[in-house]
Amino acid sequence: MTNNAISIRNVKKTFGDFLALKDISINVADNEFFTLLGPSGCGKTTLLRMIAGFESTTSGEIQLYGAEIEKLPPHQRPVNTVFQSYALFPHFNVEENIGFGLRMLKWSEADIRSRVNEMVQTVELEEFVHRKPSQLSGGQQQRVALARAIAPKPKVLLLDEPLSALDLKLRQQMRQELKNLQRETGITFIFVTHDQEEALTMSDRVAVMSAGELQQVGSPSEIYEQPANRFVADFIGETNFLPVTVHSVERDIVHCALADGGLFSAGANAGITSVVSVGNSGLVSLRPESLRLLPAANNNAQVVSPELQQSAATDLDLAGVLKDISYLGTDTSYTVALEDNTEISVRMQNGPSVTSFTKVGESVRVRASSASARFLLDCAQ
Amino acid sequence: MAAIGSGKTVSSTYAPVRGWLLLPTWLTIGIFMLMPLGVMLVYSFLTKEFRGGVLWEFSFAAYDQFIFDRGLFGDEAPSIEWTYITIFFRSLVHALIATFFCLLIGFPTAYYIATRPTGSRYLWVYLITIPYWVNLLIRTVSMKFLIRDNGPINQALLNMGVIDAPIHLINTNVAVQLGLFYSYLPFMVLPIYAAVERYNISLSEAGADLYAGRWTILRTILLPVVKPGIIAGCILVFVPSLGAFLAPDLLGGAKTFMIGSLIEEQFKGTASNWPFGAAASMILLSIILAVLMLYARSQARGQV
Ligand SMILES: Nc1ncnc2c1ncn2[C@@H]1O[C@H](COP(=O)(O)OP(=O)(O)OP(=O)(O)O)[C@@H](O)[C@H]1O
Ligand SMILES: [Mg+2]
Repeated sequence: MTNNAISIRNVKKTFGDFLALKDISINVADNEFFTLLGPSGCGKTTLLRMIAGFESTTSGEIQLYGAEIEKLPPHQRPVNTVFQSYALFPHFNVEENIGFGLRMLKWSEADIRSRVNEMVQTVELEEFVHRKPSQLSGGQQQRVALARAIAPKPKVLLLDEPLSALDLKLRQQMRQELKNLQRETGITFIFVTHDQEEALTMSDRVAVMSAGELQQVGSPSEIYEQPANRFVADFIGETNFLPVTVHSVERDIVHCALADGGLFSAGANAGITSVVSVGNSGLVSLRPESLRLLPAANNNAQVVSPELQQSAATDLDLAGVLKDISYLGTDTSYTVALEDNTEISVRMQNGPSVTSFTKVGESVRVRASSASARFLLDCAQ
Repeated sequence: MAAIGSGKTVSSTYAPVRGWLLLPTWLTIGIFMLMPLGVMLVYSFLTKEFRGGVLWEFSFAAYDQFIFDRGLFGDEAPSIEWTYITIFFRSLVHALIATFFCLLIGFPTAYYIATRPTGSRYLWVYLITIPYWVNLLIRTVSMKFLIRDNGPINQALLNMGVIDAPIHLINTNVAVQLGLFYSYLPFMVLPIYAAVERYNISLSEAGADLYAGRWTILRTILLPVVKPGIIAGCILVFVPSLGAFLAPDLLGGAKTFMIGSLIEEQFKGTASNWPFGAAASMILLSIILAVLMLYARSQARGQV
């Protein structure tokens, strides 16, 4: 247990009679790049502020390396924050901003100077040390905020959407730099964002939140490939949903029936297969890039993989008509209208070995292997 | 049609108008501020007429009278005349003390108001301005009634047995201070309130996050950041306190005579001496300008 940097147990938070966080439990491992991901207003900042000590918990507890920190005021917690608005001290220059925490911790002048120099080099602000925050660009301010929070060598660094104010190019560059910084310093990062791409590219693990509730915690590939519910599947990346009824259930596979009676198989998390039973209705999530488009005439040239034969799984195979084609450079995105007029989007890489479809109105087949289709319960839970 | 929206068309059509918009301001400042000042400057170098007014004869007499004592008939060897210098010095001390107390009470008040939720915040600001709906003279007179020896405060304290004899306040420095404090407190509160309201509270959180305790945050972050508001408040209290005459006149006595009253006397009644009053005003003005220039200098140094 003690190798958890942060352990959040059954934490609730209410503002008046508004329930902002509903029974959240999360463990963040030492050295981890952990991300809280969720739409605006889901309680990410609130959770972060409770770890920093700016907000009290209504119930539950928060531990830092096994020690309860509820009673500690913010200035006694070995945790530092990179604020969303940066909150740089406007009357101090870059050097004084970065050294502020060290001065408060009563480091010696010599130690402060060398640590500030080190941080200034890390974030590449050597030329700007004597400037005030108002004389810096947004990206430079962001680096100062980062250096200021890392300088005192906190045990955990909290970052509240630190990249959201930067333009796209800088944001992408800073993602990599933040990740490197986390590896070099070995500090546990808890990173808040509502940008799923940011979460997927940077994190060791991601906690997906919605309306004050934890939806799923897992590695980026887990939450993308094995979403726990409709919300996660929808929020992370793009997906298509097909309504289905359960035909039969195996340990990690659900055989589904479409409205027109067609049968196919979809993977499912153990948490789902243990609660569904035959006849239940549900959803299947199909990632556009996991779908293949085949010419309509080709419907009996099935390529069945050995793995699929073993589990007796059936591929999804749907007939439809091409409605729209968008060329995106490396990929092409197709919109296919099924026979019941449901629209499905399919994304295929462009390349010499790939058959491309160019005619809107052409009849096609959409194929998904059971490994790439995920069965989900319909409700948000 | 497209040209209507273009920035260039709009700015070249409307820009010249902006210069004219300042005309009323320039006229007002010119006629009602600079001209009277000029008149005073000229008067201070003229000779006094005994029933008030001036004789058009150039003279340093007013300034001379302010600084030197040449005996009753003006024929003795000059020595320094301490009367007026003492009055000026006393006024400076009063104004500084009033500024200090206004700051001491005004800062926490302003901070409290600025950190209320929006709705009640405006109510508080409104309440602060209520005394200003009543004329300053009336307010000062009422204060005199409140604090005099047989006024309601003393009566109440006597009746409760807190004191045996009335606390004597009228005609003391304390009474003048009370009057100045009461008259100018909102001038301290409002600019500080405006500065604290603009203050980003996450700066304090960042301080706490970086291991600073409450006092350290106040001293090293909040106060320096809202300093312009504090200085504005201090100027707004100090300057009128320095020239105040109502509070010293009504609440003080001969021992608390201040510049404002001195100047007032020179333009009123039988003892009037216009050039002397004008000279005293010019000296007061120079002190105030010197203070403001020191402030401007320190501000300019603050900017890199
Ligand atoms: N001090 C407060 N008083 C009342 N409600 C609050 C308070 N702070 C936050 N809330 C509410 O709690 C919910 C969660 O807020 P929070 O700031 O944690 O959201 P967030 O996930 O950080 O959103 P964003 O991505 O927009 O920053 C919101 O509905 C918000 O209105
Ligand atoms: Mg937030």
